[in-house]
Amino acid sequence: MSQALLQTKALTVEIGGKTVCRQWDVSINIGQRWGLLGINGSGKTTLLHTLAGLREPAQGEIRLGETLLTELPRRTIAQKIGVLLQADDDAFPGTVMETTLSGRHPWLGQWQWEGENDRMLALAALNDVGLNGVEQRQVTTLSGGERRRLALATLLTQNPQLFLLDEPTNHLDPHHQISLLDQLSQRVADATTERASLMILHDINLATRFCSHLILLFGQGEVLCGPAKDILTTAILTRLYGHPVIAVEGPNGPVFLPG
Amino acid sequence: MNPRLILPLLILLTPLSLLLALSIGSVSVELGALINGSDALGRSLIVELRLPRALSAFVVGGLLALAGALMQVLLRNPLADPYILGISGGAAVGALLSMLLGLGVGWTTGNAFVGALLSMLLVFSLAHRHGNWSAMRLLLTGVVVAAGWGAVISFILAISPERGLHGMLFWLMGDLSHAPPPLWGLIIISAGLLFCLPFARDLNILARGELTAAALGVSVQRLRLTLYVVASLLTATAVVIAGSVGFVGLVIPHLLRLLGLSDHRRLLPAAVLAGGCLLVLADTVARSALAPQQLPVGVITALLGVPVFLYLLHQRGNHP
Repeated sequence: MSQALLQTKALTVEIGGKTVCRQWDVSINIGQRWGLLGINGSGKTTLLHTLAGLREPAQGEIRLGETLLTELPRRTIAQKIGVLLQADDDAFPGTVMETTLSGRHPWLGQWQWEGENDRMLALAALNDVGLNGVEQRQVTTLSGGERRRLALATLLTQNPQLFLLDEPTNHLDPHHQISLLDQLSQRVADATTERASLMILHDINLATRFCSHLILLFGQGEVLCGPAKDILTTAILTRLYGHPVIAVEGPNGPVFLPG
Repeated sequence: MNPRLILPLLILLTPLSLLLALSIGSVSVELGALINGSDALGRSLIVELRLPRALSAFVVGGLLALAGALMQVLLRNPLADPYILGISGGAAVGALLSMLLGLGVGWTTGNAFVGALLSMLLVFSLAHRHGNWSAMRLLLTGVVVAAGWGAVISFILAISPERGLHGMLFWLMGDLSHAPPPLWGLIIISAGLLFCLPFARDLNILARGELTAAALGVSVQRLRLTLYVVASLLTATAVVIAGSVGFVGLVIPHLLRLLGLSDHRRLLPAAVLAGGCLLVLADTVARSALAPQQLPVGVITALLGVPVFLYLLHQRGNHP
């Protein structure tokens, strides 16, 4: 269970003159569930996009399996890496079903239309996020939380090996936060499919509950990463957020609260 | 209305609109006399005058609607039309200069095409200077270049002798009476549509955002460059045939989207047929409403297009 899905070597990421990470090595292995924490503006989204191959790093390399990300065609990358972006934009909205089916795009040939199998996958994904029965509705009529779940359903329909998620719990009520992260964890835990995930979170306690490993961005290029249990201490979290964080004993281990 | 029915309906409507265009005109032709061959004049009227003109109208409408649908995805702006990036302005300056200098119809057509290509290259090189061209940067560059052409057009009109003005105004408003034979146009519209269909599904994805498209495996920069070149060439061809016919390129893709056609694999062919039919009908009105006087077809499409567009805008009020 230690085969690397995505690996960086001496990765330096910069945005607007700021350094997000410097000479950073990490290996995201099959079965691992990574969390990415940091204050606003520390470059979490920039790093996620870089790992997805959506923007160029300043230096260093990223390998998907054995191959450099820059040497792979976009379509091949999209078959392996799925990204949940912070927000979709709807200049030209379609129906819920059309949007979900767009997850099949990297798997279909140039002239190929979505078939019965693709439709089944889309329906199953909509069912998994609790959006069954609204397939023919226009996306613009959905609420913020429903759109977030639709974006997740699209990602599940894409069915990648590596899930990269930018604040997946944004706009979601507590029930959907837990049930969707549960879904995701189960998929990554399923050893037959060789998956991994990395998600940006703002809620330390969701990270405690759902992440096996963590990446902390302190700004100015300083990064701390490793197994979650080594990193989740009040001292480290207090330094990360520049705000006192206290731990309270909960039913399933410590619960972290801003002091 | 089921969006799957739109394309078959348009396939039926196309021959009907062409038949209507052939049968209406200042001289009425009896169908019976036409078939038994006793009306040679009527026959040549239809085959040599009305048929080429109706086909030209169909080609221009199809080109503009297809180019409009592509431009709207390229610029990620539902209000984009084929002229928004200044291609028609460049063509108009080329055409009007030829008319001002008293050159022949062939020169007018050729220079219009040169003007369109020049404008296309100018906008592209200005918007592309730093390698990464965003939709907004392209849109702003195009709109400003178009405004520049507008000023040059006004200048040419201001210094033109009065006898040339009528032809210039007709050209600017869009007019099919000097359209070249429609064969090349038919080839270009067919080739354009066939070329676009294989990446129509990529357009669906690109319409959802550039990052989303890249994340789903679309080579966004390459697709956008292709869209720009194809949409520009289609527009240039349309402008060369009939001048700047307004509103077809804006309204037809919108109308189809409003009817529920959001999949570009159906939207693109439907746009070609619907744009073609609209212009065939508009041109029939343009040459017969005030016969023997002819109206520029652009006036009719705009008169039809403005209320439809305002209606759509009103409908979209809740979802800007």
